[in-house]
Amino acid sequence: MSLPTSSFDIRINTITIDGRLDAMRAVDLREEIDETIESGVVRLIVDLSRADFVDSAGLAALAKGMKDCRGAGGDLRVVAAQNPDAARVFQLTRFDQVFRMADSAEDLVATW
Amino acid sequence: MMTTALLTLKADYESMRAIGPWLEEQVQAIGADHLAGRVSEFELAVHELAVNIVDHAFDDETRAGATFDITMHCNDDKALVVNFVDRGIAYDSADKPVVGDEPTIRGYGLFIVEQLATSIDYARRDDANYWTLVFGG
Repeated sequence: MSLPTSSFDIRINTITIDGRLDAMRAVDLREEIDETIESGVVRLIVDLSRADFVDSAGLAALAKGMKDCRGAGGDLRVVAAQNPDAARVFQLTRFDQVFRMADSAEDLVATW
Repeated sequence: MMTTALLTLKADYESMRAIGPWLEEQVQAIGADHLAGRVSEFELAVHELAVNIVDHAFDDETRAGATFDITMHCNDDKALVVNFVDRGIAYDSADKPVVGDEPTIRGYGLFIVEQLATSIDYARRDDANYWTLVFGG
């Protein structure tokens, strides 16, 4: 006798940041996150593996995005910056303990 | 003889992108070769303080066309001294957020500066704001 089974597809969007995530770029990131959530996708990965500079405004955009995603039942997770200059701001503020972070998007997806 | 480097910036976010290349170029010119390997640390601190000036020393009416100056030199102790001067609104320390474990949305800028600089000083004189960062040699 076969048992009833169900399957669910979970949609996860990834936003990739190349170069700088600074005060100027943070405005664009906030808009991109807002639009993604409005479209109904509340699971987001922001890939910073190729970022070379992140400031507090970039961090704030990520933190607000995480709060909004979690408020909608999802999450915003972060692929860690490989460049130590971009990773520095996470360590200084201890936000590396606040975000769920990994070295690849695949690792983050696997644990969702 | 002490050599001082000067950078005048417009009070907008785009102009902040000139800070890194300026530091890279001028650190050796002012005799701070021994600190050249720490330029990325200096950039983050100087950038954060400059963005703080853009955000808080000017409002929507005064920001357009406003500029501020950043100078740097190497002192007798071989430390890097970076001075900021703007003629904007006085800094109000009451605006400074309490930084804790909860993810505060904005306001980590000065906290980051404090983590990176050996000292940070502020003074208000003659209708201008004077900030000084020192990075130990």
